[in-house]
Amino acid sequence: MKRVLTTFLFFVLLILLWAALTGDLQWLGIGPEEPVWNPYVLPPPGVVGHYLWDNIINFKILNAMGVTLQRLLIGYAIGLVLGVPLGMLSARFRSVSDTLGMLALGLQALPSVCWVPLACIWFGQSEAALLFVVIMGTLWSVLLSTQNGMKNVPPIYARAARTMGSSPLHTLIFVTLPASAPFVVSGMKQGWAFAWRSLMAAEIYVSVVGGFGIGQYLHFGRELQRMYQVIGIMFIIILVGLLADKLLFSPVESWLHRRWGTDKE
Amino acid sequence: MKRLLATLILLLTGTLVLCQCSREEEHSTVIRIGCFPNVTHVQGLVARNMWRHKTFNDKGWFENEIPGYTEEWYTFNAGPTAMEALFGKTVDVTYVGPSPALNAYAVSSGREVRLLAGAVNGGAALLVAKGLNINSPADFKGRSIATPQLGNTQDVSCRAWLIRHGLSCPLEGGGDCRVAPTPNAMQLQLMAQGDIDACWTVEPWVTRLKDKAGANILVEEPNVVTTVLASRVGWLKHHPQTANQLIAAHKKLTQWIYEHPQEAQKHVADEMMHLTQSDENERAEFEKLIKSAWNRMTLTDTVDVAGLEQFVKDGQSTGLLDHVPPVQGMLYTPAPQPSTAAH
Repeated sequence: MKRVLTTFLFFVLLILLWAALTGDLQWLGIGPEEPVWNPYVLPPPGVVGHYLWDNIINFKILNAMGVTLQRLLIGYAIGLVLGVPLGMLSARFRSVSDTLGMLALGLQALPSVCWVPLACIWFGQSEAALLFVVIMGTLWSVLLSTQNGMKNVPPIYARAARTMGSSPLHTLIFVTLPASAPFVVSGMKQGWAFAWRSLMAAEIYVSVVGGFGIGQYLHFGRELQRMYQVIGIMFIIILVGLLADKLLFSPVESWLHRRWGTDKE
Repeated sequence: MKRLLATLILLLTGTLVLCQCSREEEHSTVIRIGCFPNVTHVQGLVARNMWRHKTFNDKGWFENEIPGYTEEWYTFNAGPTAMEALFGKTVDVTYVGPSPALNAYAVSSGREVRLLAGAVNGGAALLVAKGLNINSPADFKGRSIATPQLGNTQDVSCRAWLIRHGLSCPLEGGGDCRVAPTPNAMQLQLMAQGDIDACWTVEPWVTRLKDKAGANILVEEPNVVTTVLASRVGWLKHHPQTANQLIAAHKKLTQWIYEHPQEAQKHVADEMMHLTQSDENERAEFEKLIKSAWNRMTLTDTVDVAGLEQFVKDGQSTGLLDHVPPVQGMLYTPAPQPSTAAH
């Protein structure tokens, strides 16, 4: 309880500091006479809050969140569907590992926002271009971590299963896959982080495609010199990222920990 | 609790240190000037080219006119980026379109931006892709129009024109037609691919779209303000004398370009080739392009206040501008010269 209180107090003080330096607490006589920063450089929290409130109640931000999350989930799902089997193949066959594995290793080093110029020409300024960028962000890291996870399963498991009469497919599904699950899940989580970052970068970078995502709101805030919009949207991006982590991955991870007997409780 | 306080004190010190890091050098003798690789920034391009080739005794035009100062040039694709640089104190003066300058003026509650002089009127047009049956505003229903950047002058003109003709084009999409901010350099390709149906842009891109993609001009506003010379209040305050000299030099340059169009065109072509990193064998093509673009614009050195007020109305009708302080306050009033003060 004390820890929660400390965290809470820290954030409240941080916001109060921000408010004081940007002149939001002048009515209380706190803070410098002239705001340290002009409101177009660093807007006071009141203005940011006002912007967020206005745009949440008229559903603009919620719609944008919907558009962005849809892009993210579709792109991420495609990345997983392609990445996990390819990673398995790459772990099983040396020829795949030497070819596709190396390609993945190379492309993983490439931030996927670098694909944007090509994607815009190949697919036009459309949803497909953004999806492509998200997939490129997800695919390689999922592929590599699946491959890595499968390779790290102690061979004794598979051998033990086979002496008990398990067929190769049975071994793969009921032994190797569950054994490599922690690696695969952490790879999926990393893939998610890459997908989220690349989508934000792409939405800021590509002007307008079919729908209007939150990255584009941030970009438009920049173009119109509305820093309150930029900061407001940054909060929304943090919120979505945290929610995804808490709702999607935390349950899976704690389940895994329970199954593996590695939870602290 | 003590640790919490310590963290906060650390943060506070950090922010205060950050406040002191300003890019403002009060006594700098470098004038940082911005312009775009557009023919409608003709004064900027000519001066920049003269600076590149050190035309006047190893000096550029402004250096020659303002003794003791040197020039430094910066390139932007469109106005909003230029205004960002002005706010960020990375340029002191810039050639820019009226809408972004007005937006920056409004955003800073009239505190940050001043107009020093006019530069060019006209030179912008709405072009429709070849073979499309678009002859009136109503035909734009369901179509997409590219503009150089959100909130730039052509973007505001385009949105206001559509709204005046009863078509909606909300920023978030989903209206009667889509206005898609697209960098000038990408427009030709996207139009050729059929990704955009029309384009509201400036010279030389107008002529380029016309010649290379066979686009047809539908709307042209020859008297509308396209380019002005804008500056930062901070810089003007520290360099009042230089600002006056700069304005005089800009006016003299405008007059020179007016009297020497052919030479000026050569400078513009050469500069655009440098800025777009073009090959030497494209020179003839560039010169031809600039020559035909030339007729579509008018040089000026005065600020058209009525024109600016129209832009304020346009900006507000499109929702891109909120409250704008009186436009008159945006005009820079030169500090009295010591010599005239004696009279």
